[in-house]
Amino acid sequence: MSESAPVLQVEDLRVHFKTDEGKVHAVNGVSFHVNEGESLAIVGESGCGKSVTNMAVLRLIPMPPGEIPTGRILYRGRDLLNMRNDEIRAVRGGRISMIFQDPMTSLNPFLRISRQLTESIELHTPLRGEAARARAIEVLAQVGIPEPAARIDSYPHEFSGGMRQRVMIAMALSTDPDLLIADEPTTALDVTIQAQILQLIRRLQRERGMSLVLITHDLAVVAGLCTRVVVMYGGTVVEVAPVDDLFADPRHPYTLALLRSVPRLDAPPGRALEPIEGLPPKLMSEPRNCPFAPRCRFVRDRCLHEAPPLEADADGRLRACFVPIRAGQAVDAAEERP
Amino acid sequence: MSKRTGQPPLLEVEDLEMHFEQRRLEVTAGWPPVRVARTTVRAVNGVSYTLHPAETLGLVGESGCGKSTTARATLQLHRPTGGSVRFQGAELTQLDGPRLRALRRDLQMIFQDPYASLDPRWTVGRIIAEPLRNFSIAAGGELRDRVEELMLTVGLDPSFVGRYPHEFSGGQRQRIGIARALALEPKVIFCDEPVSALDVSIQAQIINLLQSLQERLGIAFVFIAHDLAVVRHLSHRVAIMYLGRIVETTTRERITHETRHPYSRALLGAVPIPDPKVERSREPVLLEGTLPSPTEERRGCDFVSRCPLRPRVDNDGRCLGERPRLLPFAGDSSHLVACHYADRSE
Repeated sequence: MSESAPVLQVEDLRVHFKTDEGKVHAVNGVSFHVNEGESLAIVGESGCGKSVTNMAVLRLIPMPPGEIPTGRILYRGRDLLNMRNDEIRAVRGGRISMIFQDPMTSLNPFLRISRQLTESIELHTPLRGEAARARAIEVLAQVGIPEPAARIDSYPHEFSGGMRQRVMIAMALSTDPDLLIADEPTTALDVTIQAQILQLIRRLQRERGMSLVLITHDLAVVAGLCTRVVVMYGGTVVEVAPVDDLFADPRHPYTLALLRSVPRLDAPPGRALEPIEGLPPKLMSEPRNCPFAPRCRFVRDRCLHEAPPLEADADGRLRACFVPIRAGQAVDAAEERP
Repeated sequence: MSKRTGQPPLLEVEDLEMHFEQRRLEVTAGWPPVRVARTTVRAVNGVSYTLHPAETLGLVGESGCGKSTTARATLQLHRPTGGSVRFQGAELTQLDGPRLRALRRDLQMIFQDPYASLDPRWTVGRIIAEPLRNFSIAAGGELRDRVEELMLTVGLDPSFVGRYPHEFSGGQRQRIGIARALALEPKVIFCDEPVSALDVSIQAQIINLLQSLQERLGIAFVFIAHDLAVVRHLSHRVAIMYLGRIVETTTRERITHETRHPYSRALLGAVPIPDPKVERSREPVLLEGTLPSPTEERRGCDFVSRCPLRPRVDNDGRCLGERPRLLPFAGDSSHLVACHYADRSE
């Protein structure tokens, strides 16, 4: 881990949404940081709060129905949550950029790519007119779009899915951000295209020393791209670990269960998958217990009455669990506690 | 695994062809100022495969390669424009409505989005009972018993019989779709991306359910998905499609490291492995370009424009001039490859 101050520090973030059925506690006291130049993964399944957390970082939570009762989001020491609207606009899409899952819904179908690219360049950099256009062509070339000078005046529908995602990445990079937040950037793409886009993100990050937050449900993508991982479940962070440690020695039962529930192309055929029985929590109230307890194989009485805090093990690994898995512990059916 | 290959195949598909005519208005230079331009989309272009009882055949390939259309044309949901589909000896392409309908009992399908394929205004009980009613198989108390039994089979609580699809989670909705497909005790179920919309922990539940159903009931599956790890996990054999054709068919054991078609290698090489050490140590073969248009007709191999192998091996233009046929590799009939230079790929 780097010695310098983190680029982004999220502290005790809570996000609630008022709905007809009651208040949804989408994010419940999430803390993590992003170091300079690192690529951090935030992993979890639908509804775990990973996207909402990052929407909050970008100040994109609609309020109402959303509210942020507690939390600080420090970008280079300044709290994004206290910024005026014009201040946040200068940061969002400029110093902090984002890419979303579906490039077709994130691009305006009525506007040429050139217009959409130059708009953000003119908003966030001193470049104007022809200079902004030249910059746009330059970033399109960097993301591997063939004949960028000719393609720049195309409309989004004239590009394939993979090419549209490249355009999104070009747009995100056009303002030379120092933090890129990518929310499931390859989920909608075919694997061969996914491999191209991941390679591209890897190269651009290396060349620019940019920090990356990758939000995904796909552990395989994390393994190839990220150096540190935050695992989320039920609106909370359940484990934080360097990528190698997380895969080799998961401490939280949810992390272990997640790793065992995915089929691997390189595993011996015939290995049975271990599904996680039950369903994720509905988050209709402030959790007073471990959110994973109802599905946990190792659950104890205490887990049902008390929410475990995110604490460090002796070796500094962070996990929110009263009965963390020990390294080398045989975790098979025989070890399960009643 | 059960013994599958000793028996005659349930389903034999040969040279299946599904071409769609596309019409659009085109502006002309002269008079009349517009004309109707017709193009043919060759979605499925000569696909052959067999399926044995209690076997799972995986069908993989990228978006637009024709895997879903292959399933639909096999089931006669689209009437194929060419080729033959024999199910237990009956030629489905020649059958008229009523006789085809009778065979549909044995051939069912489950879909990717369980929400879009379930009527939101129907209760679960009615959805699962519908096929039984349609074929007048059960009524009254017997029907209720059968629905309850089906719900138990797929792991749904029978007390939820009066609930509507929106009251269930995605995984449970997929279970409803599976119960409906099982109602007529089919011999074959086509599964079109049945777990793609589900979270991984739920995905594993459905995968295990499909496997246990096969073991208990001996159902054969054609399993379509873009996730190769999932397909390999479930399938006994895997067919890899590219641009409306099968380019390679091989066994589950060989799929990871012993494929011979350069497209198969690129596709499998692009699949990330959930292990950081493995990921760091390998260099994916990146395919250049995208899928060519399915409206073009080619004489040679469909993969020439992107093939990483061809520049090294094709000295006499054979790849461009002659379409490779799907043939046994090294005399092994369980491993079919459509590449002139399959023995040169590495």
